[in-house]
Amino acid sequence: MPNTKLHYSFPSNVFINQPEGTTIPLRRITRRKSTEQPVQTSPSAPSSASATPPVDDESSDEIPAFAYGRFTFDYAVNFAGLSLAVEQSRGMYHYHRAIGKAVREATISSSAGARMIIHPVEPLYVPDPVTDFLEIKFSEIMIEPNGKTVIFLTFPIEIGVFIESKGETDVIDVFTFKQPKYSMYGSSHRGVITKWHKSQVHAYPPQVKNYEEGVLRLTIQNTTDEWVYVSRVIIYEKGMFIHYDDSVVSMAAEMTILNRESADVAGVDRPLRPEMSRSIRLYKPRKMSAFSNVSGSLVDTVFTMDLGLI
Amino acid sequence: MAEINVSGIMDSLFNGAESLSTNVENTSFLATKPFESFGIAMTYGDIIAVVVIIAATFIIAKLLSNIVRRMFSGKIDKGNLAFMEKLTRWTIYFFGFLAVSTPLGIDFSGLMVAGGIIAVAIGFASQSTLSNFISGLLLMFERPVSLGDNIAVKGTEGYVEDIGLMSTTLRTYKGVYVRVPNEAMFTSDITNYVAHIARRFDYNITIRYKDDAEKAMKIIKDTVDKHPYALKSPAPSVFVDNLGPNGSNLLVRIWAPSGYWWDAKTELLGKIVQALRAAGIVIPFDQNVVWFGHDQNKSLDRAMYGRPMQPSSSPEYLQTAGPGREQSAPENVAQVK
Repeated sequence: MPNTKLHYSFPSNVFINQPEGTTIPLRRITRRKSTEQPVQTSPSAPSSASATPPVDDESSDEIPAFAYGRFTFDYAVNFAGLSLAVEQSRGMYHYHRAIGKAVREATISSSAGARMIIHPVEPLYVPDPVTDFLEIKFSEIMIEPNGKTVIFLTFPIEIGVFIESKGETDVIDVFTFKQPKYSMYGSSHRGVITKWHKSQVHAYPPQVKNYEEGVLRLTIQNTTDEWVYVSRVIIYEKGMFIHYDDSVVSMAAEMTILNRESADVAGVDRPLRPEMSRSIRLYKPRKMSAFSNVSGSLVDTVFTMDLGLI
Repeated sequence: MAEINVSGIMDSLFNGAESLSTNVENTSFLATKPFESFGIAMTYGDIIAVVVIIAATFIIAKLLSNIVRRMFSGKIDKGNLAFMEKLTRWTIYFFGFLAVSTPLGIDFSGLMVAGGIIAVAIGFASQSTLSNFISGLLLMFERPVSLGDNIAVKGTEGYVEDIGLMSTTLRTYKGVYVRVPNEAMFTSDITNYVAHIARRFDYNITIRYKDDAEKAMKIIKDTVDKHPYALKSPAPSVFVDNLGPNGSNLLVRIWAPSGYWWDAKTELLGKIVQALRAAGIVIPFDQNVVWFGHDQNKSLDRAMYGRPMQPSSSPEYLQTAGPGREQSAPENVAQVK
């Protein structure tokens, strides 16, 4: 596929030292994929290097890409330490997945025609669904009074394996290549347990391994008349809309700074690039977990970070 | 069917209510007393009223309890929800009983005289019961504990299984059923281990004096950082807490989500010990070495290690020749002249 140039526009801000309206030419790092997900079959001889062909961009040749999408039920993956396979025996399917020391086995009763769907999901389920909040820590940036900026961060990837049959889909496994880590925002008396991730701040979408990290497009708007420091963002699961294509997994959020100590953060259903596919969500409305004690700070997808921005 | 005396009713309209009641009672079907021969003065009207009131009471109780369940379902704990349903239902039953007492001919006015004495007697008798009930109500509103919470009360630790009208049921860690009266729950100190979203646990780890404490602290910190439930913030802290008789005492403080702190605590200590051992850092046994003079120590060293060690007069003796895990010296060594 020929390389094409994508242009991203950045507003004026203090972090990205660009005048307003300046465009930064970016190299396209992947080929696009149809939104209609064709059913893929397992590679005849799964290699340990990659389950998908490498992306067609010269700068991303070194980064192997994980294949997300819908597959036949006998799909098998042997990729970067991940071993995933479904075997049929005596009329039953046996699902086996191993990554590192973590192993998942499942026996599935299904007639022919079942499909396996492998999608990036909200990174909140490994090792346990402890929290509904993802915290991304990054180096401190200053936002000018009434300024607006767009930055790109990374977020950890968790991969969900779903089984689909007769129009119904259910998750059978969630795993990750990243070491999970939790943190606490606020205090134990009033705060939330968060899934924690450290990211660098990028002015444009970084190249990442699409099975380890995704790209978060974060729009930060300072509505105050003073300089504000920001070094973390917390996103509620209901606002996590994950999109993927052949080489990138993405998410978008908007942060509206209300004062030096608080900001509203809302997840946005917007892909990083056109023609990205939307992932299946694991989120289901439920009673808040026992690891959240921030009454009044959550309205639909908007979480109010009123316990500090740094 | 019995006849209704219309003329009597008309008379009563002109002659007053007293006449009405008299005439109706005497002549109408509703005023007929079918069980009078058995000494029961109930009329058909009373019986119908009793049936209607009882039916209405049950229907209203059912409806209201359903409304309460729908209103609070998902908003409060199941135990509290069941309690509120029961409270609603029994409140309606109580009012139903009061309503049905009139057609049944139960006259509470007669109780008024003896009521005071009886009330006092009942009050004394049911003091603890009433206290438990009131405490249950107050606990429901104050909500110091919820179903499934991990608590300690009056020396008993366990999970809250049920919060009832009169008592709270705990399941101890050994699976034993414990019933705690609500009065005791209300008046006692309750420790709720999971009321807050995170909690801290500590380790005391002793290393030999000759081991590098800085290196040990870094190893411990790295090991803790790798565990998902050891929270990034508040950050774990590792420091030399004091200098003990057997080595440097390191204190490790770790925060974890309150529902997972036990998992973290049970997993991390073993990993820390493994990491320290892999780095050659030894956790010493308790030791107690007593020596008397230079020669005795030399002979003691020879007896223990087969050769003289450092000059015994030097405090360094304890640091370099003191028995550790690897040197397998006896725990208490004494040489008596």
